[in-house]
Amino acid sequence: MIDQLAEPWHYAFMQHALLAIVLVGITSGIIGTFVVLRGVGFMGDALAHAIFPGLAISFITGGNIMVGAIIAAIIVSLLIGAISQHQRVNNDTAIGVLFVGAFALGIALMTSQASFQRDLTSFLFGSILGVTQSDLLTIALVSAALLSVLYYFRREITTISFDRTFAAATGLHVWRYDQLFLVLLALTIVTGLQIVGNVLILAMLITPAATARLLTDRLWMMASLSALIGAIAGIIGLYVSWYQGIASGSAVVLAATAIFFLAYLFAPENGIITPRVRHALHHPNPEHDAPIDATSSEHSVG
Amino acid sequence: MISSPAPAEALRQTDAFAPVLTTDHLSIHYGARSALNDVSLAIERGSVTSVLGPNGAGKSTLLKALAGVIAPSHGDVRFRDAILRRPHPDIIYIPQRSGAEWTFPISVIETVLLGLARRTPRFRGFNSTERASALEALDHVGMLPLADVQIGALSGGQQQRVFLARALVTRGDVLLLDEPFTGVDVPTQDLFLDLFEDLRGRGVTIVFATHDLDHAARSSTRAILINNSIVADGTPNAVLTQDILTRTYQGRIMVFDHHAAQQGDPGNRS
Repeated sequence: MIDQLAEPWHYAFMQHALLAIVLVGITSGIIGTFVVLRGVGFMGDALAHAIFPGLAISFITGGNIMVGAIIAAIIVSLLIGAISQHQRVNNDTAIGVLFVGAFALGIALMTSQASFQRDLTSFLFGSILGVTQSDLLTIALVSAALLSVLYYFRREITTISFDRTFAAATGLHVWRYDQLFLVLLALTIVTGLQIVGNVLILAMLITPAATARLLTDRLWMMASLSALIGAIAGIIGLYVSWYQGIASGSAVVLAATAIFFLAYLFAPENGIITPRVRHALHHPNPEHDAPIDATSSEHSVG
Repeated sequence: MISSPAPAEALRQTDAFAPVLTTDHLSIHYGARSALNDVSLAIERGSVTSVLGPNGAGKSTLLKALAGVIAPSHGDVRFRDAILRRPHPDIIYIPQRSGAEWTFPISVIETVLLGLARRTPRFRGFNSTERASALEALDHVGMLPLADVQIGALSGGQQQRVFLARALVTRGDVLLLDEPFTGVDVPTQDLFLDLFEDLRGRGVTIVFATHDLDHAARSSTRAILINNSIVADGTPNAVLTQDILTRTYQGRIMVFDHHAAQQGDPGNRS
């Protein structure tokens, strides 16, 4: 058993993969917390596809793929923000138009090259076992930078996610922070790209955070749990991938999905099953529907 | 008249009846639609002003303009004689309750602490002093026992109390409230009316938009009726008459028992 657990780590490429997936799991878990709370999953999906032309161009020109993707993601997120300012184009529409348009441009660019097939697959599904030391360094630096920025602006981003009108009333530039958040989201997606591919990165953003939301009512606990779940799903997925020979990206996402369903069914407070079991154990008589304890004056309604 | 402007200005700021917030020919357009037209007002320090009018009359727009949240299309808003171009830390605007994400994982006390977020240094958490003032504000609105409850678990009235606490904790001296009584239980409404009195005693200036003529009559020192522009402006007794209300609401309001409302008029208490 110990040998089986230790075996993959005898190889440098697996060590890189492990570190990379843990970093991506943590980062996307934390950023994903705000994606879930703000309900901007569609935006994440869009960005994941929209970085494609950046990948294609850097691939064709031989530039750094991460840099190309980051530039493309920032351009697209700013364009979505700008276009949705138009009175007749709402945010979802702007996302829909740009996301597919950019994705199509990326595919057009890729297919203009002779040897696109293999590379296209690796972008779509990731190639975690090909993570080099310099990739790892880039992922670490980008993750550290974006988590630092998120920490620095944590109160602004929390306020805006919770209550936009109040945020604007206190003088926060809501639009600017929205754009900042989109850039952070884009960077997260780019770091996860090589690990799980741009199709499955959305799951790394949404699933651990959605799982954490089932387990806690505290924002920073949610972010921490989400990071932890992302990292654990990454490690489990990598093992399954190693021993079962399935694509690492899908193994990681399936592990995260399995954890989500465990929480969905068995979360202590909000699970489908657990509260009923506890209820049946502690309250044999079916009458209990505890309302929240109101302040005393609430009871004096005439 | 001959004295230099500096002392004169200092005098005006300390004068209890000096206008703290003024609008001068204020107009606001949303695209081609006029939301507010040529409104000139002077809100006195320590006054409680109710803003009444039908839906779409521009009540919310006026409050947002007074809060510096939206920019005038024409004219200007002045706070302590300076043109207000963006929200000011001493002006607290409480939007309608519906704006917030109720499922957000945040507790009551954390919500109140957000009121202090902008003046708390970035690289530390909220300290015991800030927590103490948040708890004090919650105590003021009778929400201390629920400080650690998730915000979404509260009733409408309780949520509105928390938002008032979030405003109180900042200790601003102008309080702008948009429909504070809408969807709120009677005890909370009464608590708000008492708090308005209390705050006014401490020199806080209050402006609130409401549909409720009874609240306007009971709690305000001044009532402004608007329907795109100002229809009437004066003491509640003078303004809340059948004739003026009919003009404001353009016949859409018929019955108002003025004498019944007068019995709760705080003007009689003072």
